[in-house]
Amino acid sequence: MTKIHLIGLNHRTAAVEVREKFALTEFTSPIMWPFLRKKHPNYKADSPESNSETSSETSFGTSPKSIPESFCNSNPETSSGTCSETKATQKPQVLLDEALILSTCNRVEIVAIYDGPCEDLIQAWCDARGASFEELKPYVYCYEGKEAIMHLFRVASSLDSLVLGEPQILGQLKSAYRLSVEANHAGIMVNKLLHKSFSVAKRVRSETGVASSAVSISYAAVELAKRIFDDMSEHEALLLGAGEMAELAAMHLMNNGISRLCIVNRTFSRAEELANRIGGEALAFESLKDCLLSTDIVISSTGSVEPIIYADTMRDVMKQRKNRPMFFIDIAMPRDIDPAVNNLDGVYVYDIDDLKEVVEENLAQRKDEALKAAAIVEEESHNFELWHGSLSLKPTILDIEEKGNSIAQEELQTTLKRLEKLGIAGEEVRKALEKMAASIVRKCHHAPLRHLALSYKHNQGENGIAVVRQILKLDDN
Amino acid sequence: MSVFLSGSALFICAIATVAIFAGLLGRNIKIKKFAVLLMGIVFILISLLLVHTLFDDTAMRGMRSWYLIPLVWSLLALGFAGYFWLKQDLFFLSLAPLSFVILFAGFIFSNGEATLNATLNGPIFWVHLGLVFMGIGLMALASGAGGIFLWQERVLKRKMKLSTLPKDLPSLLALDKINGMATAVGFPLYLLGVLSGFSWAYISWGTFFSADPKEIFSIMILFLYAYLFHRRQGYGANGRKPAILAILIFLASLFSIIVVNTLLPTHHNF
Repeated sequence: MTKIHLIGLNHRTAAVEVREKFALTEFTSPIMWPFLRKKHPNYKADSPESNSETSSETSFGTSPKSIPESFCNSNPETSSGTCSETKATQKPQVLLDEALILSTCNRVEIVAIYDGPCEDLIQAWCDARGASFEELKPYVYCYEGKEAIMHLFRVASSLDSLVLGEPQILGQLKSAYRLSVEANHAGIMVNKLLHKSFSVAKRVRSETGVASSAVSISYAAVELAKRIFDDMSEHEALLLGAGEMAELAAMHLMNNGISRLCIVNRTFSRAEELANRIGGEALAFESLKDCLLSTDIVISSTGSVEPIIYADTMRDVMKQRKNRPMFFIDIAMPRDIDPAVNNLDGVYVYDIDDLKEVVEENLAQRKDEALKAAAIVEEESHNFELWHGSLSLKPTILDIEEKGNSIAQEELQTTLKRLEKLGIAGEEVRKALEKMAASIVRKCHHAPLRHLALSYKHNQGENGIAVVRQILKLDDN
Repeated sequence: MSVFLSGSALFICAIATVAIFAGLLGRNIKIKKFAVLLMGIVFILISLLLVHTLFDDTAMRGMRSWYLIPLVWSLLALGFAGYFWLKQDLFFLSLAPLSFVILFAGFIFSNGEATLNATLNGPIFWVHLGLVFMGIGLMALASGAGGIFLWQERVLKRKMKLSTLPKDLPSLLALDKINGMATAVGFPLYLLGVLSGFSWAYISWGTFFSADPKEIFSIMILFLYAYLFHRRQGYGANGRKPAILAILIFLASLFSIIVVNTLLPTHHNF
């Protein structure tokens, strides 16, 4: 049974310079493939080497020629030669069955299904990036078997991410899997492992709150707005000032379907510029009070040293609005909204510190939820490991069946000949005997197969296989 | 049969009340779902009891505590309407204990109580009861939404930890809309219910109004209800005040049903 290996580095083990140097992104990962060689003789690969009839080992999917020219030209490690003259022809290659490379700004993970040590994989990685083994080794972790499975499930579930529970990693893993499939690097193990990773990630998301709350100021503001207003498409927002974070929050509101975004700034040209960029409507600063009558969410980030909106102004506004709720997101420092505005009925004011508290609370909540998620990952890893381990029984099961069937066929032919001599052979007799022989074989198989299953269940799979093979003389020619 | 149905409903309702509190406070989805399932069983039992007493056990229908059965049925029907419409189980936080209290009261008062006067058993009586209970049921929905509104509003206003609120809680505006819609439909029903009651009183007792404590209370509730309706429909009022008012009206309705009917001298103690 081939082992599951996972090697990699991430934001915890390596600084950004190291991650940059050893990145294997969508464009750079092809340089890695030539260093990994497929050992299955019938493997379809488009490498020129794989067409060789004498070779029983083939290069993985993407040939050196498919490395993007731009990368080859821009990367100092490959620019010394042409892309076709890849280092793969000069360096030793790792023999393996399947592989997958995940490379993001925070991590590089290489999943490999093969029997060798993980050092070979690290060496291949170093060779691909033109670095020495010692340069990479201190930053790399190597996992095998259940640990590798668990790590991949943790990565897919975003439990290993810099921002716990962030959703991008799953998409990145799906892209990595797509690349692996397209390049013919994925086989039964990678397929099964990745599909399981996706389902584990989905389970973690649905059964825990690890990804359910906002962990950035701008998202927290939108989350709060959703607590006040139900359907965003029925509400208008006002962007007061043109700060970067306010712009981001406004963008999130737009993405959540806000019906209209007005932008008010003391300098009208800046408001116009921003309106053109993010798709809002620029209004004169003098029209602010009129705007407050129709708008429901106000994001404020001006550079004013005095508050721009006071409680007295808002009291009149709320009266005219018949107390229709309003939400103020005051990201400015000093604050643009008089804190007393929050005391008015139907008005909710959140300043930058309030939003930070929401974010911190959400982060703490995610950490708590991560414990539940870890239990799910542990359980799923165990189940996957069981399935993976059960694959080792398959050759023995096939051998038992083959041996039983061959004995049955031999005896059947002998009996049929005898019956023919006695003059009682016929189609019906033959069918009845075949049925009987198959039934005897099946019943004889029951005990050894059960023994195999039980020994595997009690973590003695190897012993069980050895005993069954010895008793049934499966290895005798 | 009636005793078995009402006893079973009471017992299951008690378990559901404990479960709904345990599920919501412990944030356990499975327990919450179990509690809603139990409330569903209670609703089915109450429906069977209602049908049984309407068509078979007419003696029980004649008892003065019988009218609590359609009240519980109305409350649960509206609770489940809210549950399926808004995907919210929070309404059961108030409806489960309330149903339990009403059923318990009905169970206790059914012992040795007087039977309903046969002359009262006319069609207008049923119209009166049905409309009033639907009006009160909708006020229960409005007050439930109002209660959740006040809770969420307090958390947001005081910038308390958002984790104290369930994730799937409807927004403030959605809760306010529920309050508004329940008032908009509930008030006309309650008004018609009270008017049909006066008409029925005129037919049965020969007078529209007899200064009975129940009648006085009903008129007070009607005025409060009218004020809420008027503020909502006429002035478009929303937010805290209508939420508080809805809760007050519903509490007054409960007081009228449980305390006035049973403890005060009234000819509404049927």
